[in-house]
Amino acid sequence: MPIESIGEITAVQQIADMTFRVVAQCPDIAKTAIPGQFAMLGFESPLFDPFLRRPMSFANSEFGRVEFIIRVVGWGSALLADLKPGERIPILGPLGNGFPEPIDKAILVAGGTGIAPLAFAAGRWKKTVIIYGERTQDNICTLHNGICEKIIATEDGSVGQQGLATDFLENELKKGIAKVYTCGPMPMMRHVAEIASEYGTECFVSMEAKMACGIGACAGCVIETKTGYKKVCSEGPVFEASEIIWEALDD
Amino acid sequence: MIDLSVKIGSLNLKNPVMTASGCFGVGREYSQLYDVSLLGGIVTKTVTLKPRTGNKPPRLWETPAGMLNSIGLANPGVKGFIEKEIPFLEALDTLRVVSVAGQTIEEYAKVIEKLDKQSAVDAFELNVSCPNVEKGIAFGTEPEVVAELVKRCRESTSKPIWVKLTPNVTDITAPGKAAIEAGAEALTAINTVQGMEVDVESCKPMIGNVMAGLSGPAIHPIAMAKVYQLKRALPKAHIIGVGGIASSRDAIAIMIAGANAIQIGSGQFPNPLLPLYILESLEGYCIAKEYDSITEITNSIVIE
Repeated sequence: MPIESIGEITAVQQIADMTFRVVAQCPDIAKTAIPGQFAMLGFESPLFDPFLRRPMSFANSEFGRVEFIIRVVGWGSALLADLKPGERIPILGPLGNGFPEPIDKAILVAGGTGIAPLAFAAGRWKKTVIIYGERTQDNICTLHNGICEKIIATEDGSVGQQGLATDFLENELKKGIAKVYTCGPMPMMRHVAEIASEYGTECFVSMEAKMACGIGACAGCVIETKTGYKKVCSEGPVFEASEIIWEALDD
Repeated sequence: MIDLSVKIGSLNLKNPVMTASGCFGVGREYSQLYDVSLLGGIVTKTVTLKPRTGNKPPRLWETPAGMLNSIGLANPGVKGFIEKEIPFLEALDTLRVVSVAGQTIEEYAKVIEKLDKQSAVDAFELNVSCPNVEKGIAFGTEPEVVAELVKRCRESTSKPIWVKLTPNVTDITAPGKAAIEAGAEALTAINTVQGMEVDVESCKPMIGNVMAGLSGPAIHPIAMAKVYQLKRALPKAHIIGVGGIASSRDAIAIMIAGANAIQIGSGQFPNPLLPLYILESLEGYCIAKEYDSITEITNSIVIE
């Protein structure tokens, strides 16, 4: 059940180029948040600039604290990244459906800030391998939740392996039974879904959309699926990859 | 003790704070956060005769102090509404107003006929002003059509009928007057203001359906003017003020301009508990002003 709460910022730390880890003390939400769920982060803005809250996946949740990874892409994310310890923000959460927990091994394929929910999953789940792709070394988020096998892929080869995250997925799938979980740019998730499907492996994707209410009331965040329009906020954000009509989505 | 109750037509509301159509579903989601029966009333997402899947995404775009939306009246149709939503509404101890729309006058009447016997429906609000469906605004811009529609719907139910007006007209008092004369018990003003935005790089509209409805604090002054005009033209009509209410001051202001009650729409998105805060503040305002009844706020405007 979501709760409307107040989070007190305890840490803001730069972890990559234009990218910040924002931690808030918010025990009632932290208690139940699971990987794949998100929160609507609000602003103290009397002039309503920005007007809407921002949906952010939990990047971690433990000891009464929730963590988010904020990459500055606009005014809203700039304000969130500029928060200072001690400041308070309204938080609505946890929202949406998290990832179904795997019984066996999980292969987590992350691109960009899609690392947030998957880093959370890696910290919670037992057998995971993360394939984490970014353009270049400066974009790679420094993370420290959980211990898991990590494959870093950069497009320019400045750190880790050179290539796209998807280039390393097949190799992992060949190693044995595993479920695939992915979050990141639309073309990457689409490719991950295709590869998983070739291997007959279950694949879960975490989708993104502009949101207004975040809890399923306004129907503003729908995406097209094989069973009709679905609300990303309340019927997602995690979907079975086979449900998504990729052609209908903007890259 | 402040008397918070208000009268809208033949109905008594325990307080003047309602939620607006389209922003609240039937209250199921927000009832996870608070007891929605504390509200004076709720207006459901618009119901049509046949199910509607709604418009092509993207359906939302944030704007300065507001947002564009084009949902396109996505709803399960009246049959689906009765099956899925009426049981939830039955359990609520607040005024339950069902928003209704149709492609034709007969469609409006049919939806109302099918809902007329439901005890969980206390009133109907005719949505004659949706900017996001074909012919949506058309119903609300022609006073003769508004009159004919209200008359026809009056024949289908003995429950109160409210009419939600569009601001996308030169003179809102004309359709407003037509609605009241045809038997509407109240006017809800305003629906969203038609708007659009494009991306200058891709040259594509930000909204899948191209044009959309603007809501949020940006339109509050427009709602103020429309409510004020309606109150001047139709002093006896009951008016429900809606449009950009995002704070207690916005709610009080629109009542001062002439509204008997208010609805809160997209103001709930930055603050999901806003209706409760407004309710508290209205009481506080009455104490400060030494009013015994919240109805004293209505039309308390001072023009020198």
